[in-house]
Amino acid sequence: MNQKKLYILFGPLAFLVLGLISAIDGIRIIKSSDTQSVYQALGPGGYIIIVGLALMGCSLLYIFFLLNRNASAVVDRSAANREQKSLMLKLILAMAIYIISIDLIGFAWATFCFFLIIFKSMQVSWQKTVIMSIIFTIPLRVIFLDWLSISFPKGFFDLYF
Amino acid sequence: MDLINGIVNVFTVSNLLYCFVGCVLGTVVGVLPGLGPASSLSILLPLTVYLDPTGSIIMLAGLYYGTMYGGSTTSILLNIPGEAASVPTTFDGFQMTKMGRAGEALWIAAVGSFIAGTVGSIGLCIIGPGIAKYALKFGPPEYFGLLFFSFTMLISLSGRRIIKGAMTGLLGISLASFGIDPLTGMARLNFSLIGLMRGFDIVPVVVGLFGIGEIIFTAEQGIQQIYHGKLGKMMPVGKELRKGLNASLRGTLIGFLLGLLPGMIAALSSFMAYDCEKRISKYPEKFGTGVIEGVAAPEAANNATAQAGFIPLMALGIPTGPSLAIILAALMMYGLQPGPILFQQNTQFIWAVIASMYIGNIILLILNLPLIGVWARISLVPYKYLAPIVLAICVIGAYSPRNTLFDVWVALLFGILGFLMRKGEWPLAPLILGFILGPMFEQALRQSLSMGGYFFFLFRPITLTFIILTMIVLFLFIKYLRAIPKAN
Repeated sequence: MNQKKLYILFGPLAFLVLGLISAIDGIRIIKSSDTQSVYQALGPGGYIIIVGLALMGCSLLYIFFLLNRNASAVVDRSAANREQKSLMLKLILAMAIYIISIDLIGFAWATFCFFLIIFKSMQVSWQKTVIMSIIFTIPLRVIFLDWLSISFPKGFFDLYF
Repeated sequence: MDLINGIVNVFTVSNLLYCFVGCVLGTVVGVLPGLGPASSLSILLPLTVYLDPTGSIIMLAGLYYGTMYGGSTTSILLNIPGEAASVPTTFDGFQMTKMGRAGEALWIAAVGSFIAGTVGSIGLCIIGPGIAKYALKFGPPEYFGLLFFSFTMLISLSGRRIIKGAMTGLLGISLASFGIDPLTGMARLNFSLIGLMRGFDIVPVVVGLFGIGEIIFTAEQGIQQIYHGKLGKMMPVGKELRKGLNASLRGTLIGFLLGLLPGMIAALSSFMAYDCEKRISKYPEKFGTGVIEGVAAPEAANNATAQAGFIPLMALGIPTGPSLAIILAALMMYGLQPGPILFQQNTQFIWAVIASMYIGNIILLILNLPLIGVWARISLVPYKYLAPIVLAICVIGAYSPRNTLFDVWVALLFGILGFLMRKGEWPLAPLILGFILGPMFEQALRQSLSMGGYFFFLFRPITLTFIILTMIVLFLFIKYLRAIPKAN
């Protein structure tokens, strides 16, 4: 089996695993529940078993199709260059850091730092990065925290800002 | 005559001001992802305590349909639907933006919403109270039939990728079942994670799949700007205008009729309107590439559903969704009991509110049309400036419905999933459709089975009709597949 096929098999295999998890959890629920006291048609657990089995069935069907398909028909879409891939990974990493830092240093400071990281990743000059980070952070704080009163975690720094 | 009296009553400076404030706030909130009508109404509700009942309800109603109206803007410009009902608008709306036709898409969305709002208001006056009684005949088996039929939409939303569409649809249904069993209250598929106990909320899922997924995909593809070049027309003309307006009318009809059903969500009507347009179109293969009907129909349906929801609310006291439940709470706060008596005892109030809907729709149109040129320019902003602000708004949008950072992680994970699905050419729409319909379908199916056993549908004519319709659609689809030459 060539590498291209292995790459595209990853998707249906993930679906297959999810279907399996759903079915197993359904069986676990049925085994652990007292069906005398908790009776419901297709429940508890019956419905997710059916959904899980259907998902597994479709996944197996698709895998069967893929395995019988001509290798040349498999399109390789991993055409992005290294720089673009690195930017994509930086974005994901920056978002993960942003979510963690909201809890630690509060919304406003975390947002400011997030903008600094992202603008710099996008190769914006330092001067522009700092100015734009400030310009974007202030309205977000005013609109969402002050005006709409969304209660973000109050981190260490937000107590003083 | 009552309506004319209502219009006269609304034309006080204070009532017009309340209507205007409601519409403006609704439009602003609608543009922000995550802040749907229910959360914005709950924010505003305590503030209306100090107003008179008519002014208060006029303001809340303005906010409600203003939010539905404003939701299209980010869907069209940035591919970020603020709520599930705006998802179908992204399919063609964002493609139009990529082609420099953002102005046309925004224009038809605004006018389509206006048509839907106005027709909805007229329906509320004329046929509303009569039709609302029939909507009550819809029990769990009838809902099951309707939802069963709705799943045929997977066919048109998947295009040629039928198995992939079925798989992503089932994935959506499966993801929607995480959390708690709705009928027995037992925990399922939560892997002992506290955050998963309530399941996945629709907003982080949508914001992640569409908003974050799009930005990651754009970064990976090295795209610098949504659109390069000179912006096109700011309004459709000639044939395009005619097609857009006709689609708006059809979407309005679908949205209005579905909006009368208690428990109906605007997302289903906008998906159905999109699907209907695709089915009757002479060029269904072009849907998803920037077709004006693909924007007009779901936007009109979405707004018509919002407007029609006032009929069961006012005539029978049944809110068709969480937003209208808040308006019901406001009515009761003022000692007004919705139902047939409301029409008899509070004639002045009820007709003033209905009249304010006409005026609200005109205000929304006046407010939105001049802004189209400004909004459309967003498509010219380079991604390196646009992406950070979009991602930050996505984070806020994912966080705000339930105020938990767990949902932001969910949005990020769905963002990565959305990116991978785009890369592998897996259709996103069936996943969202499955996610939206899954819980409703499960509830209707299990309740129907409990009520009438495994052959419950044989004794319910409406359910049976929907099942037969589904079979006909599937039969026609198989026939269509066989008709395609193998080479294609």
